[in-house]
Amino acid sequence: MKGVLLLSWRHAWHHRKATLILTACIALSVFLPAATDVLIRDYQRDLMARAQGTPLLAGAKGNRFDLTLDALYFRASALEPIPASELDALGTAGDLAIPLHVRFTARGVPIVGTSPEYFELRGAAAAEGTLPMRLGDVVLGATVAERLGLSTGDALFSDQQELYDISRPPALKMRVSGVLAPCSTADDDAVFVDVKTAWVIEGISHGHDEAAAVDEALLIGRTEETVRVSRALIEYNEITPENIDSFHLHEARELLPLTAVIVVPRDDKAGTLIKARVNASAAYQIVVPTAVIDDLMAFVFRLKTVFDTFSTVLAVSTLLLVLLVVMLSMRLRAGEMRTLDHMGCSRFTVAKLYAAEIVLVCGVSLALAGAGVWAAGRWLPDLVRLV
Amino acid sequence: MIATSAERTAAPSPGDGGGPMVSLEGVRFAYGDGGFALGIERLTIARGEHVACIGPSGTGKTTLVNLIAGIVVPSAGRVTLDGAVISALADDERRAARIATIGMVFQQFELLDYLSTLENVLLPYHVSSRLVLDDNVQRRALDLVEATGIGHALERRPAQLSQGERQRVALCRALVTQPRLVICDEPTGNLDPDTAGTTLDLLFEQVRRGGATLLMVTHDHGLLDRFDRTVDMRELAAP
Repeated sequence: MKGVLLLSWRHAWHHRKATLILTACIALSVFLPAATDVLIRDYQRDLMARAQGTPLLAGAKGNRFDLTLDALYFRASALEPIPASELDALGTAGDLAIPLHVRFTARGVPIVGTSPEYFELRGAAAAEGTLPMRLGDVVLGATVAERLGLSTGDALFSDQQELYDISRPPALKMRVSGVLAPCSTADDDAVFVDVKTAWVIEGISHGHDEAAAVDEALLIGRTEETVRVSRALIEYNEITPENIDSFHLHEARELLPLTAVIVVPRDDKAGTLIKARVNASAAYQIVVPTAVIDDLMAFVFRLKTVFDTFSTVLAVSTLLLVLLVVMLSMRLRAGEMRTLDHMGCSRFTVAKLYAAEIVLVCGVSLALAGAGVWAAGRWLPDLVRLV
Repeated sequence: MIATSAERTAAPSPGDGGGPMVSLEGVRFAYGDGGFALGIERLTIARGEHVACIGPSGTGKTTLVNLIAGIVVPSAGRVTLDGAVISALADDERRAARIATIGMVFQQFELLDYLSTLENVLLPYHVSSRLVLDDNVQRRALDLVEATGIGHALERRPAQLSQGERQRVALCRALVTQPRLVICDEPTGNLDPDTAGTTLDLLFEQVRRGGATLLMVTHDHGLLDRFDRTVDMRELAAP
C-alpha cells in the first residue's frame, strides 16, 4: 500500500495544477454549504443568547426587528427616540427599567448611555478600574480597549457631530474609568457611559461658567428667573470635579430621549400587563426579543433552504466534474496502466492506484473545507458583527 | 549464423531445476475481432538461453511474447513458464507469475513520467505486494543504475533523460527483480545505432551476470550473431 500511496502522491504532485483545481472545486462545494450552516447556527446562538438575557424591550413604534437589533447590538438607530418619562413609567412597582441611549460614537465605536443595572443584567464586570459611576466617565468594552490601546485613566473623546457648526455641542472628553472583561458579545465592541453623560454629548445637558461671571457682551437677555447667553459662550468639553456642579439640563424629563428601554418585569403577570399597556399606546411598542429573534431566524432559515438547494446543485455539478476528470484521467493513463498490466501488476493494485488518488484529492479537499469551516466559525461571526 | 529451428534448444543453465524456461505446445490463439490468428506447434526456450525472435510485422512476434508472459491465453494448447503451465492459471496467478519471473523491456520504454529514475527502476516493488522493497533491493537498484551509466540521473524524470538513458532505466527496471526470463520487445527500435549497441552490450552483460534467459524481438538482423538462437516467426507460426 505504501508504494501505491507513493505513486498516487507523485502523480498528483506531477500534475499539481490540475490537482489543485480539482481539490479547490471539491473543497469549495463542501465549504460553502457547511460554512453557511455553521455561521447561521453560530449567529442564531449568539442572537438567542443575547435575546434571552433581555426579557422585554420597549421603544418607539416601528420595525420590531430594527428595535431589537438596534438595542441588542447598538446599531445607530433610525427609530424615533422615546422620552425618559416612559422609563419612569415602566420602572414602577418593582419592575426594572434600564435605559439605552445609542446615538453617538467615540472613534467610531458606539457610545451606549445606560444605567448601572445594565451591567448587572448582562453579568458584566470590570476587568480593570470601575464601572461608570460619575458623569463624564466611560467604561470600555474589552475589544475596544485593545483596539484603541486605552486603559483606565486615559481619555476618550466623543466624535464631533458637526465639525464646522459651532452651535452644535463640542466633542466631550471622557475619562476612562474601567475596562469590561471580555464576553464575546456586542458589549465588547461598545463603550458605556451613564445615560446623563449621553445627554451631555447630545447637548441637552451642558456646563459652563456661572451666569454671574459671564462677560456682559455674551448676555442676550436677563429676567428674574432666567439668563439668556450667546452661543459664543464656551461650554465645558470635559467634566471634572471642579465643574461637574455646573452641568444642568435644559429640557423637561419627558423630552429627554432614549433609544429603547430594557424592561425586566418582576414576574410573568407583570410582564403581560406591561406589554398590554405599552402596546396599547399609539407611540410605543414593547417586544419580546426571543420571539423577534425566532421570527428573524425562521426567515433566515427559509432563505437557507433556497441556498441549500443551490448548494446541492453545485455539489452535483462538482461530482459530475470529478467523474469527468477521473474518466479523462483513466483515458490519459491507459498507457501507464497497460505497462503495469504487462509487468504483472494486479487489477486490484491498478484500482487502488486510482482510488488512492481520488481519496487523496477528496481527503485534502475535505481537510481544506474543514479548516475553512473552522476558520469561518472562528472569525466570520466577528466579521458579521462588525458589518 | 541464424538458427531458425524452433526445436533446437540450448543446454540448461547449471544449477537450475531442469526443464525448459519456456515451452509452447500446440498453441492456438486468435484475437476476439477475428483478425489475426497464430498457431505454434512447438517452441522451447532453455534456461539461460538467449533467443532472438524475428519476422516481418504482423507475423505474431508480440503475440508470442504476450502468450509466454501470460498477458493473453491461448484458445488451445499449453504454455509453460518456468515449470508452471501459465496458460492454465487464473488471471491473478498469471500476473503474480509474470512479475516474479519476467522482466520486460518495451520499445517505447514505458516509463512513468511522474517518477524519478530510481523510482521507475523500483516500480515493480511499488506495485506488487509479493515483492519486498528492502535495503538489498535498494542497493541492487543503485548498483544497476551505476553499472548502466545513469547513476548521475537518479532524481531526474523521464522527460529530462535522453532516449538512450530512458532505455537504460527501462532495462534496470526489468532486471531489478532478478528475473529468470527477460523479454525485450524491440528494445533498440527507437535508438540510434551507437546508443543501441551500447544498450545491448549492457543488456547482455546484465542478463549474463544474472544467469537469466533472454527472449528478444528484433528487426535488426545485424544483432542476431549475439544470440544463441533465432526464432523466425514465418517458420514457427503454423498456417
